[in-house]
Amino acid sequence: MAKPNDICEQAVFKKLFWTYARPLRNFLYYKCGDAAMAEDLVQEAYLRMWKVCQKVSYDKAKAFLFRVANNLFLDEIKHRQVVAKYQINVAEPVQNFTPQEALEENEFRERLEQAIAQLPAKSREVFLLNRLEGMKYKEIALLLNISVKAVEKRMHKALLELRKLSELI
Amino acid sequence: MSKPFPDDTFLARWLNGELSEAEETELKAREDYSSLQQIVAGASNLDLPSFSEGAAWEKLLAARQANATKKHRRRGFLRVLGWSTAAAILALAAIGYWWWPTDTALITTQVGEQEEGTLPDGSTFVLNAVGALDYESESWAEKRLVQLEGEAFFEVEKGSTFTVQTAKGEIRVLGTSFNVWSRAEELEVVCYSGKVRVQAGRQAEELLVGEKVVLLTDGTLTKTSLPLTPTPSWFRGWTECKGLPLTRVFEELSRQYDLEVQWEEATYRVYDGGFPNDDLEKALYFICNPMGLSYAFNTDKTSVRIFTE
Repeated sequence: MAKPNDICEQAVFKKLFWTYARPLRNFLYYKCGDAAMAEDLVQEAYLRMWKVCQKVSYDKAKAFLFRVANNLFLDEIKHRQVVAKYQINVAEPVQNFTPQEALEENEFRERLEQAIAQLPAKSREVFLLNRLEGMKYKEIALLLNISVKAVEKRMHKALLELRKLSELI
Repeated sequence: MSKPFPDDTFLARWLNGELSEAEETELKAREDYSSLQQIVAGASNLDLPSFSEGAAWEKLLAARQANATKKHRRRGFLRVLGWSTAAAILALAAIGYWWWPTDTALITTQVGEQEEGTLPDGSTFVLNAVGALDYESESWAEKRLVQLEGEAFFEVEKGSTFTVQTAKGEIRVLGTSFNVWSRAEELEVVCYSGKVRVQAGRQAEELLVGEKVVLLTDGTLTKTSLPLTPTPSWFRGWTECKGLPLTRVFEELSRQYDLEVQWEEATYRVYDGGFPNDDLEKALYFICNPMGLSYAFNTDKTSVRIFTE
């Protein structure tokens, strides 16, 4: 007889996937700025958990996934230069730009994307958590286990870098 | 070069509306103020890339399956030959790398894809969306063995026993055509010609033309007959869903369309119909209309919410 919350059971494992895969993907995306890489790392983290499922209890699964994913991310950036790619919200209502304005708008977006991709990982993480996820500095501090002051410093640095980079490009 | 800022949290506090009036004035006097504003406005247009739990889950299952078979194969190989022989063969393989045949073939499909292929003996298969099929061409002459996750149709040349292994059971034939649907805990096999033997655990069923067997969740095999068509409907761009629970219908939908289906209703209502694989609006209409359901897309059409009217 299977135990009720035995994560080796496929149904239980699937539930863990549907609960945490998205937050985990987003967490990794903020770190690496690359959606495909984030998805690969999510898959790898779950595969590793499956391999040792007998040793991981249901309550520890979330912490396990995030810790493994974070380690995988750190390993990965040692091995490759991350080229971040940002997807722009295409569903934004179409505005009546003149062709010239539309061109400038797109150019600026592209420049900004490239600039964000080149940010140091720690600054990008804080910047995107605040701007995309809408998290407050205090919440980010709790999540990353750093002080609010440190969050503010990273945020300030992110903006400084973005300004520099968007001028350079 | 622009002036340095008074402290290293200044811009963070600006974004949070925490600057004093004097600080605000100082910021606005800066020559880079407008470009900072532009950056913040531009960042508000960024959006998270889409993500589909359903598709990612299927990929995870396929990867797990592929991992398991790979490891199994390697272990068997080394046990039979021993390390020294294996090393000698590796050396030979390195020398003759350019003509050395590939020993495995893993075929996978993504959402909305189908893949046709021929096996070493001329038998053919078509793999439906979000599936994985694996076989060893080296040992094919001794053992016709295919591993499958997902749905596939096989036309098998006459010869020795041809086996399809799935997570929940095995299908053995000599020479016939048949369709296998194997996802997670479930298994369904339909025989289109000849004779097919399905083994799941200790139970076995023999299928003749036009018969179908379903492995129920309690582990029993149930056989039914169905009106015969020469090939499965998904060959013709149609996903047949006769007497299927709605949850499964929506799972099939998200295999044919790259789309997350959000669905919160009671899961056991049964749907009797089908949908086209190339027209999403029509497909949703075909499913929702007879069931008294409505649907709404999110703005970038990456997910759809199904709800009761």
